[in-house]
Amino acid sequence: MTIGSDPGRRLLVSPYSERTLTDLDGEGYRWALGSLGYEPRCVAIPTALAACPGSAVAFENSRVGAFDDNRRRFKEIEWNVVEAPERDFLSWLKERLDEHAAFERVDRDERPRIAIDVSSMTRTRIAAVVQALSELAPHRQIGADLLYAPAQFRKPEAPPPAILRRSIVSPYFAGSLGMDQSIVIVGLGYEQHKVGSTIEDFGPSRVVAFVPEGPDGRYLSEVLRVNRVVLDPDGPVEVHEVRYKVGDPYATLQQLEAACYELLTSPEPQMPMLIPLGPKIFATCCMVAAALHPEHVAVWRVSYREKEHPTPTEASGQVVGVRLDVPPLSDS
Amino acid sequence: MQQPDPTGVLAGYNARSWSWSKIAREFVAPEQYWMLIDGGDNQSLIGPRGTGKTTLLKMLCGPALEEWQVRDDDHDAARARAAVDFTGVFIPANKMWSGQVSALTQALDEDDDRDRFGLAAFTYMALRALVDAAEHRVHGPAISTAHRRVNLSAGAEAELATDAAEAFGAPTSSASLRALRVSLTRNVASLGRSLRRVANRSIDARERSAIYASSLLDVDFYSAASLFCQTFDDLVGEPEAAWAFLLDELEFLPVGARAEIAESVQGQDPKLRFKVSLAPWTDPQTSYLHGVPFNDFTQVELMPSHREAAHAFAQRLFARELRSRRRAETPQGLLGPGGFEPETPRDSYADGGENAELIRQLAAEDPSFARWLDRRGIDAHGDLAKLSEAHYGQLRKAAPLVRLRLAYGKPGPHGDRVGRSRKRPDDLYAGAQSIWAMSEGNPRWLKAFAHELFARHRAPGSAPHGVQLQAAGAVADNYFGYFRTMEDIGDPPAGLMPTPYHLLMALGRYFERQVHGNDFTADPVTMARPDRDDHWIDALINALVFLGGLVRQEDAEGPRVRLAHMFAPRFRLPPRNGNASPLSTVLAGAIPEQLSLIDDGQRL
Repeated sequence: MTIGSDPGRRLLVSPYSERTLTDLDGEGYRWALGSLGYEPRCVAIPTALAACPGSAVAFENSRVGAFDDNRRRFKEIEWNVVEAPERDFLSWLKERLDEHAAFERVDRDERPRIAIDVSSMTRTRIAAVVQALSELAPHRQIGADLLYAPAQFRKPEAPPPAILRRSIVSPYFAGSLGMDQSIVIVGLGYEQHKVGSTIEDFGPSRVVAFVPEGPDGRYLSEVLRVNRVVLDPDGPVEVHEVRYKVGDPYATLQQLEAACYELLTSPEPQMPMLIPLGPKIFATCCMVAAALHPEHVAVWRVSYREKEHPTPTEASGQVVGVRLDVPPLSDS
Repeated sequence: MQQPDPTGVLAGYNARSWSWSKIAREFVAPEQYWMLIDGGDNQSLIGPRGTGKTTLLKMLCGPALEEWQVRDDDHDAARARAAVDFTGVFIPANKMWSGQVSALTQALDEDDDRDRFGLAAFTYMALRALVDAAEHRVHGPAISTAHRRVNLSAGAEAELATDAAEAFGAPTSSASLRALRVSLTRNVASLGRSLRRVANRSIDARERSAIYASSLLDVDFYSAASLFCQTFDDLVGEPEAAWAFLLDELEFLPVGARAEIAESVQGQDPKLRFKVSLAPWTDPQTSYLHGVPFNDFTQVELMPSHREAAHAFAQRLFARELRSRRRAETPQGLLGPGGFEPETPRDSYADGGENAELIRQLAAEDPSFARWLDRRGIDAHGDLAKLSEAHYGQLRKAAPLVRLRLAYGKPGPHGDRVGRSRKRPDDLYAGAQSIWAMSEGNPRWLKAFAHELFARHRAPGSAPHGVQLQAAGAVADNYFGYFRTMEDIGDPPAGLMPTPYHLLMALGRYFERQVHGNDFTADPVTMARPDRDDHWIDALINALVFLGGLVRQEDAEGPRVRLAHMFAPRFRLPPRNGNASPLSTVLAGAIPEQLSLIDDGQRL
């Protein structure tokens, strides 16, 4: 799929076939990027990619749960653990891409490819990843597989009353200055209060709710149960439900891109506002879809101000992803 | 016209302009609507969320007025079309737009620069809305209920568009209103691109300087709008006509834009009027609104007003909900009278009357109530209908509390009063009277209640009390969900309520204890008077007032707050004003750790 309205740069997206962690290997990747956090899932994909050099950027906060175990694991697989302020992540990543990207004279078949594990990344980091790829220097080229290890099923916990922070995920994804009618495209997960209060607060004319379907049917049941108020077809805000498969991010990206395109090119254009709650692979798809229309699609993040209770999320054993290619500008 | 792709992601989704007809179809005009039309040039419309501010402003615009249909016994549409003597220009700011402007301008070095860019963004969007409104008057679709339509020749339109393009800094490829609108949109996009370039720290100083000096930032909204309106009116032969800029959610405009509007009003061009909506966060002691002087605006309040007016409006709104669902019942027929007071109150105090029996029952059960009667020289077994006006008035005031105590309490083993186990709220909270009271005339609440009710009651005929109570409870639960979160405004001081939810629960529990305590009172404390200078508590109160959880009022002693009546069933309160205690007294016994044990919604 070649998509993109930005004449300066195109992100080329292609499918990445689902596979198991045991099928994954580091051969063919020049470099890999992961995250060092408290989830046991942090090390699932990196362990499978141990054959290739990699870096894991440590989170500054919430160094609890499996954090120390994960640090030891990264050391065992000889990945470089990076300790840096979160605000420097984008610039640091751009420097790494600069190191690994090829110049335009390199054949497409020999384009260097890297792997980026988004499983335990924050949405802000995922945004930075997509931005860094989108802003690669015009004469450089690189391929990037954005990989995600779906979690094992767990039941949702009732969240405590909390202070919410709502903001654009980064200035790159701020969308337009226009006051056009806006449509909220929200990914659902277990964070019902985040979704409900945000929709109530924003008061969009309509909502498109992306509902995840995973291999474990219990997940869908819980998501539908937790979000039944949001999904009420007769509720105060018109809600259009779209099901997407966690295991097929390429199809999800197509759905998102199609939704954004339809809204932007309708006789009376409406501005999509993406709120990618739910699985991080959906957030990844949202960032890529938005990056294809950087001046017209906004991406918001909604988080609790307090540190969220660390959940011991384990990988299910599967790996899904999105394959991106960033050709030199002359090829676009 | 391109047909929607039925296989598309949004198949069945009509992206055409639906908002005007939908708004007009569902519109019921409150008294404040007519105040916006008749009540002066520059007005501020103040009210919590869900009270219909956006709808009221939109219903002042030509497209909405034209879509508003005359109904059988309701001639408001025709009346409004005759009365609105200006062209309404709706300009929607909102939290999303505000967030995007903030994100795009955050890379700018100075506050002044952020204000300039924010003002420029607002200016182009406001001018585009103006051109939209003008274009509708000239080129809107033929309709029998046309409002303020005019003829403008192609040559005159070209003249107008050419002059405006120069004033707006928006050159067009062709001289038409449509091309002008496109050009203004292009300016907004250029502004966004400029901001993205500034955010890219690698651009050189020359480019940065050029962006800061861009002519895109030079357009003055007031003079550009004045020029356009005067030129348009002269060309269509209406030199004295007026235009009203209808600015929604003013608090989300950049400070520079708010100041621009305030100054525009002081410019006193009789042609331009401003009607703005905003949340009730203003300090009533000053004439400043979020830091900008708004002396010249007349306030129109949408907060719950006089009970009779609110109930009458609620009934009309609910009747509309019934019509839209093609139900044959009247509101009273569907809900029944219900409530805390019989339809013929005086008769109910006579021997054998409902209130008389309840009073006697409670007097027999509750020694504190017997003492209350005794102190006032009221004999529970006498003819209560023949009491003096003073005593009758006291009994009428006490009657709802009598009902509540009987419904929720019973004699305890030690002569005290204990709670009665219930699975659901008492039927007191069902029926038209109670539903109107709980709604407080809030359109959003009534719409949500209708939705919940008819999800449970599809059969014709009246809705059982239990179903009504479930529906009202579901609406209250949804609101509770919103109070469980709030915007980040900084860290709460240690030991204080962390969220609006906690404050609401603390207030509710306190008031509940006052109503159902051991000693009967006809005037329990069900209101709180803020009595300390506390930024955090003020922020929570403001958030709850805005979200509709609390209602703020003023009396001779100053401001006071009470729970919205929708929470009356949850806390077993009478849906009416009561006595007020200092807020510090109310909160004295509530600490956050204890609040975590509060049963948060399993009672209904």
